[in-house]
Amino acid sequence: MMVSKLKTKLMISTVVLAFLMVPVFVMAAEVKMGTAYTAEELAKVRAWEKTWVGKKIDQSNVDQIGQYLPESYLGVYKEPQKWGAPPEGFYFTIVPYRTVSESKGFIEATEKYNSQVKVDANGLITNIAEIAGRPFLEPKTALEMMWNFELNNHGDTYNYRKYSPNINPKTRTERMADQEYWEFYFINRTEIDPKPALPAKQNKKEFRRGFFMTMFLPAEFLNTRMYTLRPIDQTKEDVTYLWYNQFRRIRRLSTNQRTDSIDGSDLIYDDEYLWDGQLSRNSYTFKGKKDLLCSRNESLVGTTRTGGQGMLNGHKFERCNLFVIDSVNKDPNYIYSKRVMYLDPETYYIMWEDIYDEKGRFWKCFGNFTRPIKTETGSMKPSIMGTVFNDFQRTHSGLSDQERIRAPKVSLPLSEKMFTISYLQKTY
Amino acid sequence: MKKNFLRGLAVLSFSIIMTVCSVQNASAVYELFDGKLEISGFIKETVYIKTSEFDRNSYNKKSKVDFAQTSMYLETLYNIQEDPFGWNVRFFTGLRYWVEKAPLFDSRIHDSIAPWHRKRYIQPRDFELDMLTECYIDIQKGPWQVKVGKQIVIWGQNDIGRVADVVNPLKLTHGVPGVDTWEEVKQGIWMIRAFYQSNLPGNLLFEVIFNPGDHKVGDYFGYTGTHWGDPYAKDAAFVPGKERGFGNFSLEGARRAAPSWDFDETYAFGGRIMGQTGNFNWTLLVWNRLQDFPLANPYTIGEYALRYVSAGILGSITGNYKDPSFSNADKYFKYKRFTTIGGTVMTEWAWLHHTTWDLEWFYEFSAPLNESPTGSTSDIDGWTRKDIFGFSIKCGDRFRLPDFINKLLGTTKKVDWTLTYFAEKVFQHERNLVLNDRYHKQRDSVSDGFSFWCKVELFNSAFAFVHISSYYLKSGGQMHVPTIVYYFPQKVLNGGLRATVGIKIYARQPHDAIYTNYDKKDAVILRLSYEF
Repeated sequence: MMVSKLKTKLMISTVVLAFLMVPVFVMAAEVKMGTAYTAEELAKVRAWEKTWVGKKIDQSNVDQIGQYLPESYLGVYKEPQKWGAPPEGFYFTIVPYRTVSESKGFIEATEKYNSQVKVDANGLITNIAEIAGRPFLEPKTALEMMWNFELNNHGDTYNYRKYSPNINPKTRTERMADQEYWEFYFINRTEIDPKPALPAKQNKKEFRRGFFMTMFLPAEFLNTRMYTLRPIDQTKEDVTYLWYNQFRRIRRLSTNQRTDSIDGSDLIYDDEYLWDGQLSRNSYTFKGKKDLLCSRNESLVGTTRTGGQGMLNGHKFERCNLFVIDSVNKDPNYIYSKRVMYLDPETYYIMWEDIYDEKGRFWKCFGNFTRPIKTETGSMKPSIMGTVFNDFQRTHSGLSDQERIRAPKVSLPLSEKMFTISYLQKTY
Repeated sequence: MKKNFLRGLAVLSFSIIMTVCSVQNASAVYELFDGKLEISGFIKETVYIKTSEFDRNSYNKKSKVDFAQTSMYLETLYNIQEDPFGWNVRFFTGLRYWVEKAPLFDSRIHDSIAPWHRKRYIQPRDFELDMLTECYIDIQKGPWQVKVGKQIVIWGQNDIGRVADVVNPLKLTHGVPGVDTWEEVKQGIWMIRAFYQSNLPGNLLFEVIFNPGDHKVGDYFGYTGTHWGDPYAKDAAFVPGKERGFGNFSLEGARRAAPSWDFDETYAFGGRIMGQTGNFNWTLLVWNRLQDFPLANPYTIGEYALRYVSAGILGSITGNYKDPSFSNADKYFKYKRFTTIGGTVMTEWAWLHHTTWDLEWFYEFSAPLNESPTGSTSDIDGWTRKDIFGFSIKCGDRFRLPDFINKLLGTTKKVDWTLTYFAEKVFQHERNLVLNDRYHKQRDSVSDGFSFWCKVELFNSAFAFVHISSYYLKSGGQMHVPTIVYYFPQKVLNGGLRATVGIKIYARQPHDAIYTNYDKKDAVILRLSYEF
């Protein structure tokens, strides 16, 4: 009888202990997604923030924080009239640095697949269709950092409407572009079933990502639609089809077009997300880290702009210690000789990018504005809210505001059948 | 006439109210009823100023402006039901309206156009025929899609020429493809059109079309006395009426000979398969229909010509012009049935500077043709059927201009261009076939040529330069149309205003009687359009 009671007590104790130990094991298994600063670095940032947080930065004091802006943009804030500024000039305020977490699904996928990543001698992931989440938690090389950028799946599906003025600050005139985009990941999925990849029968041609665009402005492109499919095989080029509504024609677009500027803007097709192409088209070199002011937790709602103004006013910028990566295209005739990418080590979005022309002269600087938004599945996912583009050779600007018409949608239900010629021709 | 004018005015007024007075919208499309109804379109003013003219036309016109058209197009889409994973039901309509003002302010132009042409040249005469371009319900669920109603179908990929694009007849009295939109130059046909997107290898998309008898006549020639038509034949003998020539009389007779909607006789049907194999996107098509422009009946056309001459003689004797009779026109012109097969192939060749290539072909089985001893339409004495094969191959590419030119032109954009070679061969060719309406040199079984298109955007895309050319190798018939477009900035009418200036130039070898319908058509083009 006594023995039996002892056994029962022992069992209960074991079960209770096991329950108590579960969080310990889970915590031990939880992956570290990486942060921008070490504790020591963060303490210094907090000390700096005591002076600057809440302060309005404009032409009068921008020099004092100039080291935390790309050099070209420091010039824009110092000479606002050259860039179509209103009488009060350009200004932004500084907010405290905040870490940005990935979505729950993305973290779980990282835990599950991180150890399964296989890399060849050239640093290319060989089993990309079988994994999801962040492949390199402590990236050592520029290529590993760029794989982290590449495997940011934007929530499996991503839909946004771009309000994009192309601005000539000299004449204070602008032309509007208005486009809606849908992005769909066939593989590397972390939020929506099936995960991590669509079954083979739904992806017979082995694509990694589909990108669909409908144009509303300029007016002659109304309801013109385009989709691009990117193969899993890094050696294969994107496949793009355009339905030109005015002439009701389907056109196969040359990959050559990816390096052509998009209708009066300062962008080429490769510039979406500040790099939009097969990763292996470039060579990458890690150049260290740089502390820059970025917009990574703030909405664009509330920023202000008048017609012909090349920059938004009222931005909220925080400091972030970014990876600096030189990216050189392997095509010697590529339109850019080099991109210098400033990569957020928490979200792996490119926050700033300096671009050099074929002759090596500084040409453009682009900046992304990101923030976590609630996905359709209830998680929080860092997403791009807008971008600023400036051409410093022609003094020409462009903006993309993805919150102006409506908020972007992340992890929404989409079908792979969107990326077919028959879908391009549907009645609009 | 009055009823049509009022109807047109109502549509035009509605569009202006909708576009100018409504709340400014960031998008080009206007949305109503919580986004369920989408409205878009354009209003356009086009003027041609002639730079060359026939001597005999000098008293036919008071000014060099012989084309001044206000046109508008309004399309509406009502989304009855939208569900990406279920039923999608949409209702689409397209309406066009125009007023051609040259005959209104120039009485000589007015008088030189035949009354039967003038009315429908100046403005639409018939709501279904002239104004309603499309009207259909589109039902889609899963892989199935059915469109029922009046539709414009585009089966080819070429921008200017029509090789595999065989379903809708054209109306070229007011404009031409490549310069004007398809809604302005194509005639919608009532049809049932069904699609099935299969999961078969190559993602095969099946499409079938059945036209239950809606037969429309192609207007492939301009009306005499108008900008795109022949000059009137003042110097010809026995010309009745207002000296409009036998050609004009024949064109109208051909139109009046067309059979009306007849399920048993005027039906058309066909289908198309689209697929992808490797790096090639392809289509295969078949289409069976009545001709959209008839043959002259060789056994009765002499009698028809006699009507014309008789009216001319009577006019000469009495001094009162008398229009010849068009009665029983179907006795003199016949629309015959034939079948066309064709296809397209589209690909990109990375190894060749990433050029894109479009191949199109057709094969007309037993295509009906007229015969004449001289191979011209003036002395038709027979009809026959021949097989005809045609194809076009288009190469497209982009290139970057040198830096100093780009700087001068204020652009970073590449020059976009396409070059197309097209050819047509009549099999079992005989020397007496009438082929000049297909641009064949007299007694030649082959017609071929090139077309070229290029576009470069200038000054931060505030301007665009566009050039279109075509050249028929054997006849020397050629066209060159350079234009410059200015895109008004956003603050002007919400960025929808465009101004175009250009010139169109035509030429041909002087000895051949083909491509003559473009003689003395050179003109400066001025166009102002508002797109919404």
